[in-house]
Amino acid sequence: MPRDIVIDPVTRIEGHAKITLKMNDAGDIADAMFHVTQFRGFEKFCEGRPLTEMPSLMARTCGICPVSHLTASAKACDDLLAVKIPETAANLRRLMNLAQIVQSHALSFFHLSSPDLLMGFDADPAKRHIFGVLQENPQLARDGIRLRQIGQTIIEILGGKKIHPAWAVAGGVNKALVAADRDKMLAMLPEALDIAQRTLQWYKRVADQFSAEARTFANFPTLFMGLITETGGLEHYDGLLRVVDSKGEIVLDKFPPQRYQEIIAEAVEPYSFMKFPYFKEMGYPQGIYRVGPLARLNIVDYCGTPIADQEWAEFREIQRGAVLSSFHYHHARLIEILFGIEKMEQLLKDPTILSTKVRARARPNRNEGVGVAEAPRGTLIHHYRIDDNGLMVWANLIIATGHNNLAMNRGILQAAQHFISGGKVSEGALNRVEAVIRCYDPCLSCATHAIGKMPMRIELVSSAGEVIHALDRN
Amino acid sequence: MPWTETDRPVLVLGYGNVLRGDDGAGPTAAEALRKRLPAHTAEVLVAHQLLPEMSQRLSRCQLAIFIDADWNLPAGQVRRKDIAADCDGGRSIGHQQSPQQLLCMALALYGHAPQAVLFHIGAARFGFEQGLSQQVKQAIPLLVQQVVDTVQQTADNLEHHHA
Repeated sequence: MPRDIVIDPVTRIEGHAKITLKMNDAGDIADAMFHVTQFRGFEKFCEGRPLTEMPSLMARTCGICPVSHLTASAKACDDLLAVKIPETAANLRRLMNLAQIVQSHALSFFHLSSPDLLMGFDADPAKRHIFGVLQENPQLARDGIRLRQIGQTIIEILGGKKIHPAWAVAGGVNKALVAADRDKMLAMLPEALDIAQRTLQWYKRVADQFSAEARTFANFPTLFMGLITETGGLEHYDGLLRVVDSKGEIVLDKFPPQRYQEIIAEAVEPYSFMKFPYFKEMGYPQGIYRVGPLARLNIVDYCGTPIADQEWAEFREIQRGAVLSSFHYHHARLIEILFGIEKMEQLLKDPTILSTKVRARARPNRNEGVGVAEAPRGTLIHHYRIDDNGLMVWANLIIATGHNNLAMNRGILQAAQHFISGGKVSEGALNRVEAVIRCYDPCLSCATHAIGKMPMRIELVSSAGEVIHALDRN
Repeated sequence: MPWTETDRPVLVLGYGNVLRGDDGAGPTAAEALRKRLPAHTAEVLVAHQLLPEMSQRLSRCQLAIFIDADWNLPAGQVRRKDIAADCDGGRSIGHQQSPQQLLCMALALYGHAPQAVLFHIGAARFGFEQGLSQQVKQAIPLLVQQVVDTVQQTADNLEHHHA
């Protein structure tokens, strides 16, 4: 008899979600759905607010990656002012964004995913968490805490506080960097680099144990999208969009991110509050693409820092063309941590980072602006419209986790079909289905920022499990 | 982990969200304690939530005092509880810990978990608002005095021990 398996809540992710696996008569998995069950409203309640409030307000979308929203929002406001911000201001924002990527990736890898990698997917769930890690491998746990602390401290030095710093503003940043603070940041980076290199070597030693997971964790062809530099390097703050296919061939190159609506559209499904972006040219749902660390390393021609470049070259040897399995997000995340640390050091050692020219001042000069940056989880788009008084009349946010929605849904189906069959369901199999989602490090607080356009389904279910009434809002 | 000159023997952690009404009781009490406790004895931290990074600092003190709001207690009621390290991870996603979990981290990762006391204060309102309810506001001085007494008692014991 067909039945559903529900994993609720999905654990070790940021936010609230559940997974439904639908079984057929033979007890095999026929379908899988990733439901994002939390509900928020940033696009709506920003209406009527002055554009100058947007960076601080939008940063509140998330407590894990507020800097990403701060950055994308400030860039959208730069666009509304029609200014080119001073180079030092851009580099300071770039610096904070990299610190954010380092600390967020550390949280994802050490705190959320390392329990599976250290103890195995079939380990006792009572021990398979960060407290299990600190008992099994205290050095790994200490490294995770310290790396995250370094990233957070750099954010605090630059912005005055670790979470929700109101530092990036329309036109630049509100405070120049002084030499003493620069030196404090530089002093922490060698330790961070040691931790990142040690952890990457550890990961490469244990990763071979997970070949079944690498084969089945969202291992299928899709497009990959992200920002690149003018010369095809890894870029998280600014740059141009590139899309590659599963063979690693460029589908779209150096596309201005402000024109994202020409290439991306969003669909909605009744079972989730998270929207489903897709590559317009291929239609829905064929236009599936991925963003984030795996995508970024798949689209670039190089990283741009010495150690990260060596590791990137080795990473790309995993597979000809693009590296397809989402299991390799973990590996890509560690390489990006290395890159972030090296790049921060480069930026801080450039004397111009201490320039006091860090803000362009102007009144609103456009009624529409777009800001795009790479958040830890992928490409983040803030798109605003204002009236002639500079008050917000409309906003659209496309969040990194949202871009990956189609791939996450298809990924859990692939893993479930591989690890569950004949009606036999082990805890380890269910953990693997959850772990597919964890590979993407989804941030559901961010992804469900929207209000007003989302479909909703309310089901009234009898004690026998029969749906006796359903109400849809589309 | 060697102790340093800057490590003070008492760490007070008042935590909660000051934008959610009475959830700000911990930070409010901590701010009041900053004025009451001798700076050379106690370090006072105010936080939204307990973070793994705090475990290292925790491992360097001899007495830790946690202050949090509790909606299970009648509004304004203060409860004192001695607590110890607990390494049950539960459903923690890793970036937010209970006091007991933080003590576990301090012990397992840095070799020392201090004596610890958790003060809960009963809370009435957790809506989107700043400021405390009347009951909680009135109870803060009582809570502060209890913490000061606890710190004093510990300081006396330490002095006696060293003598």
